[in-house]
Amino acid sequence: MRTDAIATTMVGMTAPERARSAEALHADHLSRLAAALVGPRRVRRSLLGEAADHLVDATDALVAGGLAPEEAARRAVADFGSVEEVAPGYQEILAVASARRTAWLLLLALSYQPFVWDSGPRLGAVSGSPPPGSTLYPLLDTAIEVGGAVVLLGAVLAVLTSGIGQRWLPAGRRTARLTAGFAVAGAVLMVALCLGMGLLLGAPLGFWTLVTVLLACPMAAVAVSARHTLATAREG
Amino acid sequence: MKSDALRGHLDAMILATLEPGPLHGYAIIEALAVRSGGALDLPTGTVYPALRRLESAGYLDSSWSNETGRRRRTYTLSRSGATVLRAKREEWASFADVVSAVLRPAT
Repeated sequence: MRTDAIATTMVGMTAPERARSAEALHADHLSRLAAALVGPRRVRRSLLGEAADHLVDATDALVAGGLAPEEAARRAVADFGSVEEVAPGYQEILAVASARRTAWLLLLALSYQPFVWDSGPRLGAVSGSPPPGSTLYPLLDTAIEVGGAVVLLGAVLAVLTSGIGQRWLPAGRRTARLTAGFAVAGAVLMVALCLGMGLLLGAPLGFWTLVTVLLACPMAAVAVSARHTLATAREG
Repeated sequence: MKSDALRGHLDAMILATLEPGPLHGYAIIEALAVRSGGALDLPTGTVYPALRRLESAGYLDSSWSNETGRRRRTYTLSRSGATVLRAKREEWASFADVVSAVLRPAT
């Protein structure tokens, strides 16, 4: 039931019924706001919870000022702003929060790669020996090191931009789209380079198992998160 | 006063309302209304995203509190928030001085 329709049905109600209908006015507005928002569930719930608290506080203050509950609820909803007015601001927050999550996932997935390749499971050693005289192998080896460093640096920048970096650069949907695009490109690049290296070396099953668990799956999670971020950052 | 004219200054005004001490969202909006003498014509729902943005930037800290049996998100001005508020005040004062000087009727 829409706000105006709820207000019309309040005529002739008892006081408790009117109080319940005031809650219905809030719930109607909040459910329309909720329907307009996409993004990380926890942040979305927190934003909507705060909006709900606001409507209760505003209505109580107006009732204390002498208005009837239903009139107070209607005024509180009107003062809050229409969904068209307020949803874009809320959606920006959700888009940036989603971008921050994607950037953190990318950073996490990359953070242990030097350990995986060079010291712990030593993927570089497990993958086999480069074919003699191969010119492609050194190229791939350099690309994976340089590419990894660039993507890692980009992930750090994206984490900062979507957080404390907002002091200097306003972050919004554009930042979220850039972060998501960069994360997908970085994830694809890392997996593709690793795939190329493994194929070139004729790597054994153990290598592919480790690559799947330690690189491909985390990067797939990054790509899925980036897809969600793009959905939150869609204009209009 | 219309919201378009205020948008660029909303962040500084929010920081100023929190200078005396922590407040929850509705109390911040009330403080904005009181301090402006009721002149701010702003959809109150636009203040909450601004609060979250200021928090992400590290200018505000927040926590959920339970006052009078109600759960509320309470905001506090951080040290860097206080620093940026001082800077914005100085910026505004010099801006206002310049505009006032130019707008003053010629004698």
